[in-house]
Amino acid sequence: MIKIKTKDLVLAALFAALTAVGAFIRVPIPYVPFTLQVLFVFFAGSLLGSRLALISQLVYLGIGLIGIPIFTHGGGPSYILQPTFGYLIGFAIGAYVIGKIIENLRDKTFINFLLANLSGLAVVYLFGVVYLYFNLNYIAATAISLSKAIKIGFLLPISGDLLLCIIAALISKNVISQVREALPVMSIENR
Amino acid sequence: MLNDIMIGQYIEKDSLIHNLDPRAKILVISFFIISIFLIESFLGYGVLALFILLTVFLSRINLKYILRSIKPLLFIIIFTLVIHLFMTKGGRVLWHWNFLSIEEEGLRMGSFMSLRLIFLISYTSLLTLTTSPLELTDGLERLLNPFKRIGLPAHELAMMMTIALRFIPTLLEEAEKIMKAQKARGADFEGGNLIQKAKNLIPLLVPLFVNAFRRADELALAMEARCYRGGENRTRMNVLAFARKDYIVTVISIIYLSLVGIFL
Repeated sequence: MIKIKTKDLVLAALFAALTAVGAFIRVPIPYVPFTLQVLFVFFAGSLLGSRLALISQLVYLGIGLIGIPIFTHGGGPSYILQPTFGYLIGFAIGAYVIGKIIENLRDKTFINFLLANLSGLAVVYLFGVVYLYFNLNYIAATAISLSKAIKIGFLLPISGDLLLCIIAALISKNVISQVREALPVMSIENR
Repeated sequence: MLNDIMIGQYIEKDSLIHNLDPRAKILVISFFIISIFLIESFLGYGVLALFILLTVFLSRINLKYILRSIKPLLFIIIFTLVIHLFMTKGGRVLWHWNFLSIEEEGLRMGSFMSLRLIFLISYTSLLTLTTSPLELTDGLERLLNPFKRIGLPAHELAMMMTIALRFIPTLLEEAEKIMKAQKARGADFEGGNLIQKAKNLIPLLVPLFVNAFRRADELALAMEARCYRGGENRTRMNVLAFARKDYIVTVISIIYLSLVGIFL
């Protein structure tokens, strides 16, 4: 039986809620207006640690699937049929990977955060593209080649997300050290 | 918008479907999904459509809500239809223009696959239209309970979903408040170059995260002070009860769906 401490349980739930909230906060940047949602995936990994980050993103998926409109195009169980659902699964695994890498790194530098975020992003896209490929081929029963899936699912949207990776890495160190400072004796000290 | 988030797609009504146990609904939906992938003929889909319409009628949900739930997936439905129309070959040529042609098999496959998607979406949306999010998490928890033995934290997941649901509106409000407060102190969320913009996010993110950690501490303390220690031996105010009508509806639906799936 996986044991989750009450405090961790609440924390993961709150980060799931934060991820959902992030989708509603838009930051205007020329060409790629983005929402804070992806940033919260990066920060869940670095602030909560791998295990809780994964759980929080799974909870986020769960509440979306039971019909709360927190995904890009709403929510509900039929969202599994969306070709883009794989990216959402990728978020959960990606947050885990980011957390794992940061846990194993001694120095919290820009380059290290960037590497962690890039690996997380790679996982997101891996799941996204593979899901896109299988979704179109089997659910829609539409023959599409893997190279085409890579083109529409990876090459087109990657540039904006790379930018986000850099943004997140730029501010990670500051955000994390300031959060730690504000919470001297509380839950964060072991992470 | 806040209201949307609190209740999801749920539409409150007093109907047979609304009053069913959420577990019954989830079970029937699972069989529906299996059966839709087994059906191989248009006759089967016709019989299935009757089943959907009957459920819609019994749920007293306006058909327009169901159509609305199809909208986000309209793209993939049309995509499926169009690709099959022009790419799947076989049978008589129905229409022909330059290098484009629609053949019988393409029309058949295209409409079959898009019908499958439409049915899947409309039936699963009935679940979220007739069941409140809290009922659904409750039902999911009870259904997943047997998997506890292999290590699935069913209660904890349901508890986290409930807490997250409860806090989405609160945190949304809080984020807006922090943005306003920081703007009043001169923070700029719009101007500057890319690096500047990234840095501008710090005064928003730090208080948001700090508050989340604080709140988690307080809420966990409050829960433990009330003797919360996970799912074991926990009692609840509204206990889900699988009543006679739930048995009847579940059994009839499962028999119907299995027959359609196997024979048509």
